[in-house]
This record gives sequence, C-alpha cells and structure tokens, in this order.
Amino acid sequence: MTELIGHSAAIARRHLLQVARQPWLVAINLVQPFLWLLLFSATFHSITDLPGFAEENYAQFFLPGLIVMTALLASSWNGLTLLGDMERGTLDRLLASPVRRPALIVGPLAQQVVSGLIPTAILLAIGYGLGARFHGGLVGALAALWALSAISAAFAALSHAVAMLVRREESLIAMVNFIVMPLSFLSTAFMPANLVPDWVATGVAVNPVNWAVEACRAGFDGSLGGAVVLRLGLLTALAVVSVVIAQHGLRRYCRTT
Amino acid sequence: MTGPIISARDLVKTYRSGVRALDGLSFDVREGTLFGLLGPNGAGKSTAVRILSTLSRPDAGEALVAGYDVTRTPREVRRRIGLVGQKLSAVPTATVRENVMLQGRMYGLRSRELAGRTDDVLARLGLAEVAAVQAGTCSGGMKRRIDIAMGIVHRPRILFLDEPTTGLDPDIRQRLWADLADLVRRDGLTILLTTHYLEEADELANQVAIIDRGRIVTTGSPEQLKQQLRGDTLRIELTRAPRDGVVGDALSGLGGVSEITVDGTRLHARADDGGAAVPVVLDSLARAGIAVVSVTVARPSLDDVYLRHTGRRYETASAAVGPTIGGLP
Repeated sequence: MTELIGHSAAIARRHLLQVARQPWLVAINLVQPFLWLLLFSATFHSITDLPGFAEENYAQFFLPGLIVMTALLASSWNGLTLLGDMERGTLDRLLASPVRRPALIVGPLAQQVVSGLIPTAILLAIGYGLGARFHGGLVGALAALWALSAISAAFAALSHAVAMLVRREESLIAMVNFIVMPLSFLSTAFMPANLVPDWVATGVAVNPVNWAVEACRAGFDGSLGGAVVLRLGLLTALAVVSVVIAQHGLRRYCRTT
Repeated sequence: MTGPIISARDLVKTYRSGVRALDGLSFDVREGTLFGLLGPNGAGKSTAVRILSTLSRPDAGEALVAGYDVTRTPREVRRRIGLVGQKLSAVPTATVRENVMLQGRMYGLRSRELAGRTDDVLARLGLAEVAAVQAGTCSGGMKRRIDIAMGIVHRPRILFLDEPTTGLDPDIRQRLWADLADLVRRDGLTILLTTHYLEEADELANQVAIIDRGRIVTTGSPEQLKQQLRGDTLRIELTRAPRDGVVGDALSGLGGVSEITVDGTRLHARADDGGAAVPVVLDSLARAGIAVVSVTVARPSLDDVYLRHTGRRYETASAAVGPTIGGLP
C-alpha cells in the first residue's frame, strides 16, 4: 500500500508539473469558467423572474453547476495526457518498471482532483463579486468538495479507459464532446428540474453530473439531508467503478501490445 | 549466476493483424556482455525486446531474464532491468533531473539515495549541465542520453535498448557507443541492443544474433561470424543490370569464386583470394559482354554474413519491409 501511495504521488506530481509548466493552458483553463460565469449570469439573468424559480440571483443558482461543469470538462480531457505518454513511449517505460499498476490510474486522477481546486477557488471569488454566497459551513464545504472530487475522479478514470480503448486523440476528443455537453445540459446546472420538460427531468434524475450539481448546491445552501448523502454515495460508487474500468482498460492495453 | 542472464526459448508471437513477428526465437546472453540483436525492420527485434522486458506476452515459448520467467514473475524481472525504447520518452515539460528522479521513484529510491544516484548518472552521461533544463528543449542526442539515464538510475543488471541510435547524427552515435561500451566495461552491466545498423553491431557487440523473419539465423561474435566466410568479398558495380543467368554463366567455371549474387547493377561474390580473382573475373565478364564501372575487394562484413544465412542482401531486406510503426511490425 505504501508503495502504491508513493508511486501514485510521484506520478501525480509529474502530471501537476506538466500542467503548471504550460502557461497558456493554465491561463485558458482559468479564464474560460470566468467568462462562462459572467456570460451565463448576464444572459440568463431574467430566468429568476420565471414563476417557480426559487433563487433571486442567477449567479447564486448557477455557480455550483458551473463549478461541477468546469471540473467535469477538465477531467474528461485527462486521457489526453495518457495518449501523450503512449505516443512518446513514456507509458511503456513505466510499465517495464515495478510501478504498481493502479498508480498509473490513481496518480493522474489525484492530479486532476488537486488541479481542479484552483479554478473552483477562482469561481467562488468571482461568484462572490456577483452576489453568490456560501451558506453551508464546513460540512457544506466538505460535501461540495466530496462531490467535486468524486465526479472529477470518475470522469478522469473513464477518460483514461476510453483513451486506452480508442488510442487516438481525435477519437477521444470526439467522444468527450459527444458526452460532456449533453450531460451538463441534462442536469440542473442551468435550470431547476421543475422548469424543464418531464422527459428531461427524468434524465436529470439518473444523471451522475446532476448528482454532483445537486450535492454541490446543497453544500452551498446548507440544505444537507438524506438525498445529498445518497448522491454522494452514488458518486463515490461511480468513481470506484470508473477506476476499476480504467484498470481493466490498462490490463487490456498491456495484453494487446 | 553461471548460466546465461537472458535465455529465450522458442518464442512465438503473432499479432492480431496476422503478422507472425516471432517464429521460434531462441538465444542466450552471457552476463556482462553487450549482445546485439541485428536484423532489418520487421525482423522481430522490437517484439523480442517487448517480451523480454515484460511489455508483451509470447504466444508460446519461454524466456528467463536474470533467472526469472518473464510471464510468471514479471515484477521480479522488472526490478532487475532497464528499458530504453525506440522513442524519446522523457516528459518534455519536466526537467532532465525530474525525469530521471521520477523513474528512480518507481524502483523505490527515495530522498538522498535517489538524489545521489541521479547526480551520478547525469554526470556519467554528460547531462549534469542540463539537469535543470526542460527535456523538451534538449537535442535528439541529449534526449537519448536522458532515456539511458532513466534506464540505469536504479542500477539494473540488464539494460534493453531498442534501436537506440536510429535517427542520430554519426558523431552523436559514436558518443553513445562509447557511453554504452563504458557501462558494460566499468559497471558489468549486461546490454541487449537491437539495431539495424550493421556497423553498430560490428563495433559494439561482444555477441551478435542475426534475426530474420522472427528466427535467429546465426549467432556468435562479429569476428566469429565473419570468419565463417572464407576469403574476400568482391563488390562489382556494373554499367547496367544484366539479363538473368548471364553473370552466373560467365563466372560459374571460375575456381575460388562462389556465392555470386546480382542485385540490379550490383554484383557480389566470394573469392578465396580477392586480389588474384579480380583480373580473372573482369576478363570473364568482359567476354560475356558485361561492362564494369568499379570493383572493390573487401574483408567479409556482417552484411555478407546476413546474405549467406538469409539469401538476401541486408539493404534489400530492410527496404522490402519498410518502416515500422510504434515499434511493432
């Protein structure tokens, strides 16, 4: 176990360095959610006037959803790093070492979770300027963080699994675009469930992205209850299953090369 | 260890594409030697290295590396080997030092020991001055040395190098050869190196195995292999490609001249005494109406060894197969 943690930490550190040393990548990743928050808050400002919309400030409603969406997008691209490692031969070099195999999955996931905290902090600061407030206290913050970490880990692991299956950058990009945006819109990130058509609401209920959005929002509002605990449990289970799938993908990659 | 440090027996590997990369590959490597696996592209060299370094499993056969079975105890094998693949695998955004240290951590090296070994290996390979530079900004030769540094930082018993000098300038290649020879001589490291450069195997290897179509066709020291061929090699450039059979008819009756092959305008033959054979051969060719541009008399090379055992010239075999993708045939 100590060896697995050591290997995972070393690999996570390498991935963090890899991201930190690409200033343009960092800048774009930080500016993009900032723009989204400003644009969406301005564009959908009038939604707060709709009958049945509970919040008075759209930024207050949208901020938890945007934080989840930002984490979701970033983690879904995580497999690209793996593809780079495959192409460069870095993965083979690691596989020929006594590295604990799960560390090759857990390391990048840890990097994703850690690096996702920075845009989250920036969004919280900007959201505060737009009138959004956090009412959840420490428990609410922990619940929101748990939801974010679980959804990030789940999608980063699935991105790895897809990368090992398709083994081409273009295919992974197409797959991410195909999945991430519909999942985001099939959640309450932009609009509460009571204001969307029934069939969309049905999809929202079984969408893991929505579990994360709702758990995060509950953490913001301090309205923690059994439903939130259930969603956090489901998200954790999803993360575990995704890591198992990614592990299976790695074993398959090793078998087929 | 008294037996071979690497022992491959009847290895077979067929890819899903149907390509049979290895077809009963067998060879042994003695400890503390540099073993050259020589063959054209697609001969099965990279597949052999992938199996011996536990990256791939054979369909049949058995391989022991440092006394451990590569399929039954791969983790034990991995602790004792280093791998330098065909590609330049350093992470470009990490510094040279960070790359080497990351690899060291995978072998359980920590803090002071890891730092010390990293410094040693960087100094050894002439990389100390660029230790803090991002690997992506280094030249191709330096990147290759970074790969080697990553391959030896944990002091393995065996280092696998898969075509390490492909694409490097001749002077950089020479420098790398010196580094590799030094690792064997000073550290007692065993190196298995694949190459498609005949001169590389000739210059570096204590033992050479020539691989063709997934099988070893002959093995021995470069000198032993060349000594299997008596006399000299005649290389004759003709003005134009002759009709089939004409050259054979012209030279067939000559004593001391054998193994005649024609490839376009190039004629190769073995001669017991090259100097004495030249005027006789030229006269016979002239009588047959075959004009000659130039004649070279040379000692046998590994190219001649390859020709003798495969029936094809080395260059022709390499060209026929073409480039490989991703190290696989």
